[in-house]
Amino acid sequence: MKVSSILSLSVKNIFLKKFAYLKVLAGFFFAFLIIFIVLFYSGSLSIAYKTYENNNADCLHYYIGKDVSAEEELEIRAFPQVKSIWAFENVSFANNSVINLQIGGSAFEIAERSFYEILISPKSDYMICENDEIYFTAQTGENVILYGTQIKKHGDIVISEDVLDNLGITEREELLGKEISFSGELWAADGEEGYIYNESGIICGISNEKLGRYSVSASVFGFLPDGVPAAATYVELKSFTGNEDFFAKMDAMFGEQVMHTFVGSGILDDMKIVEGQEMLCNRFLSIICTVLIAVIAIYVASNQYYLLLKNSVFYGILKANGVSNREVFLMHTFELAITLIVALIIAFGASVGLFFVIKELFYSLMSIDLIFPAGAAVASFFGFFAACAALAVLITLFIYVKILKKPPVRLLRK
Amino acid sequence: MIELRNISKNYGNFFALSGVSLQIEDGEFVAVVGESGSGKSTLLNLIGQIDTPSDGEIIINGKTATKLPEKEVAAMRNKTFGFVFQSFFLEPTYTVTQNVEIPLLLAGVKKSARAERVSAALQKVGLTEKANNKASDLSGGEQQRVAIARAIVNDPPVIIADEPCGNLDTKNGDGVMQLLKELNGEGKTVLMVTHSAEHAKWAKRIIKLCDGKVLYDEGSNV
Ligand SMILES: Nc1ncnc2c1ncn2[C@@H]1O[C@H](COP(=O)(O)OP(=O)(O)OP(=O)(O)O)[C@@H](O)[C@H]1O
Ligand SMILES: [Mg+2]
Repeated sequence: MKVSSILSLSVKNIFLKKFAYLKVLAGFFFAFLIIFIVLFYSGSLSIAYKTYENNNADCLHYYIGKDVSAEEELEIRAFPQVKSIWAFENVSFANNSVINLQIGGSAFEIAERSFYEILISPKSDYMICENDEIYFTAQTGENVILYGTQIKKHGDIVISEDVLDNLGITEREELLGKEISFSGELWAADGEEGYIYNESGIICGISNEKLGRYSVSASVFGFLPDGVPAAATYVELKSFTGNEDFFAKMDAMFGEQVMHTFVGSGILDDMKIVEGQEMLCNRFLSIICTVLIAVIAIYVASNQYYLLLKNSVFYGILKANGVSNREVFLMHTFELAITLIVALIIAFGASVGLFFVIKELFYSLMSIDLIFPAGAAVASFFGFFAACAALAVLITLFIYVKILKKPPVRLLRK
Repeated sequence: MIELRNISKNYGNFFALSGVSLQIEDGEFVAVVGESGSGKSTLLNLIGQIDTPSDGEIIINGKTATKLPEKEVAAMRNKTFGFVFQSFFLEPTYTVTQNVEIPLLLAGVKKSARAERVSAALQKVGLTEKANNKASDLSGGEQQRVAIARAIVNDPPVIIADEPCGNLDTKNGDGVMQLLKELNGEGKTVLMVTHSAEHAKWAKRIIKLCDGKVLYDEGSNV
């Protein structure tokens, strides 16, 4: 038999047994529907997240991990996009995620590796970043030190109230003069293992919460521990877009020592909401989905089995009338693949529709504008398409070995 | 011509058939009789190539079927045999025509020729009027006639009928026997299992099985 006639026989069989096939199709449909909705929803959240970050960031900093020369500075200033440049020399930074912390000999539990930007320990001067933007030097004159003093000598450490709150430390003045030691991890730019460092010193001051609080997702640069170039230059740009020529130039001039970061003030709290939603989506929804899909899988399996029982006599008759094993295999594969793919197409259409309903709801109830993740949607559709074909072959292979391969008379049992 | 050489079929220690040797000439009308469990169905299934023997050889028109690749055995089923089963095995959601044309579809017969041959087969079994009815809507006797039409539509030289009247009343059963006799009259080999002594008399040759062995073989023209 030609493959095309086997295909047409499969199609015909589906049509003539539509009720049996509809049951199986319904199972596949709901499974695909749930998967697509979750994919679209989480996809749109991640778009929302990125857009939000970019739209709300109010400055763009370019970080150069070294002191720039006078000539280099001139070249940088020549770009019309550049708003300002400032440099720090001879700084040693504390940083990013703190792994453990001891004050006055007692250890504090760091529940999660979080982003407490604890402290500042410069050699001759210090700086603190909040939202990657606020910098703080002795020259600013802004009084951010609530207790004690600013850093005066090497080994002095200022700790932020925000960090103390986060750690549940209520004392303030009593902390002054106590020894503090901690280890932390400097985030590696490319997502590899971070650089682990240890710092220790004497608490000389406590700053207000403005200092030392920033989110890793909103930042790239932080404080550099000893051993990392103890100098830095920041270039503030006027706008987020249209900086390609500038980036290219920076890369050419400084290579790996440069990186850029989009940052916005106040972005952190908003991002926490989005992060929370994403977490809700990822954790909560994924549990529900797993359960639902398991239920559907059982439903589909039982229906598939029922369909096979119904069809086994039919396959037996086909074989008795001259259909070979290979042809029966192909026919079953076609029938299953068609059912799966029709379910996939309908589910895709329905989930796109449903997404826009959800989008309307979100917008009217919460003013959150979900954006349809078209790229991810198309990619997942084709991914599932291929998966359906593979699944049809795999399931058929199993059924073939278990049942279809047998001599015809073994299929002719009621 | 069909030849069985020392055919056995066992399930574990149990022999459904043991050491059966037979020859069936073209155009014979054979009734296979015997007690329930004596191996009648097994014998016909093996001859019709819808089951495989544990031992022995089956030679069909000079070809040793037991040694052919699966694909050729499948082709042989299509060309050589037409099956009629006790429980009909029709597709209930298919119409009469759709059921009958299955062997033609499998043989790759063109649409126009298919229609012609289906209606000829239906005419032979007297079901022209029911051509577009759902198989499940027919009576038992009619369903068995549809099954016969399906068995003959491809014009196979051998009809294998396992208790074709088992689920029918006397009147319908006699109708089916009449059909089989006619087919035999047209030169087809008919192999039939029956529990009815009356029906067995329609055949020219009677093979009686007992415990998987041939007890007697009467009217053999070999
Ligand atoms: N798949 C199987 N597994 C085990 N035993 C089987 C199997 N198929 C048939 N048998 C046994 O083989 C023997 C012969 O079976 P067969 O169906 O040929 O009998 P039969 O003569 O057609 O009986 P009946 O008149 O009841 O149809 C029976 O005892 C049956 O139980
Ligand atoms: Mg039997």
